[in-house]
Amino acid sequence: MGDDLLAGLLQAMDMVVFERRPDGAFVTITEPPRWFALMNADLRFPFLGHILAEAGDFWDRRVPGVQDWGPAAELDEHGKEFHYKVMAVQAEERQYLVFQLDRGSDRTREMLQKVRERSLAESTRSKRTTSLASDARHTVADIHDLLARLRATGLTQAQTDVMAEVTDVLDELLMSIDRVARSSQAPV
Amino acid sequence: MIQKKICLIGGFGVGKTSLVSQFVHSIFSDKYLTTVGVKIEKKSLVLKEQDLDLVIWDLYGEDDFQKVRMSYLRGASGYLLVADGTRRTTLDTALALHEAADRTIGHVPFVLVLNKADLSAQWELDEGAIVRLMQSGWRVLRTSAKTGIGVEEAFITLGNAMLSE
Repeated sequence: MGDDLLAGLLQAMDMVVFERRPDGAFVTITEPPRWFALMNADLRFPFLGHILAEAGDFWDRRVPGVQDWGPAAELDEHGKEFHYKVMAVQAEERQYLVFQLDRGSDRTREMLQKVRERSLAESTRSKRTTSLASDARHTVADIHDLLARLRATGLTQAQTDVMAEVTDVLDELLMSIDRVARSSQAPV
Repeated sequence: MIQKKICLIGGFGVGKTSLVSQFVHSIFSDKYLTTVGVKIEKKSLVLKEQDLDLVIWDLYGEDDFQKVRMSYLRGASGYLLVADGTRRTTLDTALALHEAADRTIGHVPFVLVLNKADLSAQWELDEGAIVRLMQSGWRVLRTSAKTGIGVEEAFITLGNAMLSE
């Protein structure tokens, strides 16, 4: 593959490739794209320093393959966040350090955001339901107490029958409350 | 000038990014925005008459979909372990992350941050468990990234602990 073709391909893939020379120096094999230039400020390189320490161990093993890190977030000149990944590559005897813009991170974030927002909303709903169920149980218990006090005053048969029906209704209500409370705690 | 790397770790949605944003930029946004990957910020402090540059690694929140890559903690002189006071499970996540961090980088200073203190009516954490952690020597602080309460104190407490090491 010609140098121009390779450069074009890497550029199209938002990649910057450095070859690691035997003396440890890094030499860029293509012209870095614009987004990469943004990473020269002092804040960015703590992440690179972290990678280089681990990448050094990877290259020292001299086993062909790839080890990757990231995504890491940066801000562009307009304050918009972008993400990139870094790869250490061992290809035969050659070693490379590759930076690639990670456009997939936006999709990942979108998906995670939806799942997590749903989970947080579900958690809030579940807590609210549990709290309402607890309040309802207390109310039912209070009504049972009132009924017991009424019974103690002495009732006619008709009143006793009505009281028995009210008690049944309260028991059914309690079961419904428990069912709702249980279903709200079931995993989404 | 002393430079120290610190990390923020915790479950998702506990407010790690908001804490950093409040501490570094004095900005809070009510909108929850998932962090993907690693964000690095920097803040200079003067502690114990020393200039301290904090390099703050805000790591994505842990959940079933994203496990925190503990190697990102390598080189950290300390960390903030963040839980959301209104969600009990986030303390369990924080405790598990603390154990993992301990295994990865050994004993370094850390502060357990119980965030969202402005939502005290919805507080869910077991006070007994918190007291027991404090009695066992943990530094525990309540913060609100929204109001700013306790935020600077959390970072300063960690900074002082690191300088005392």
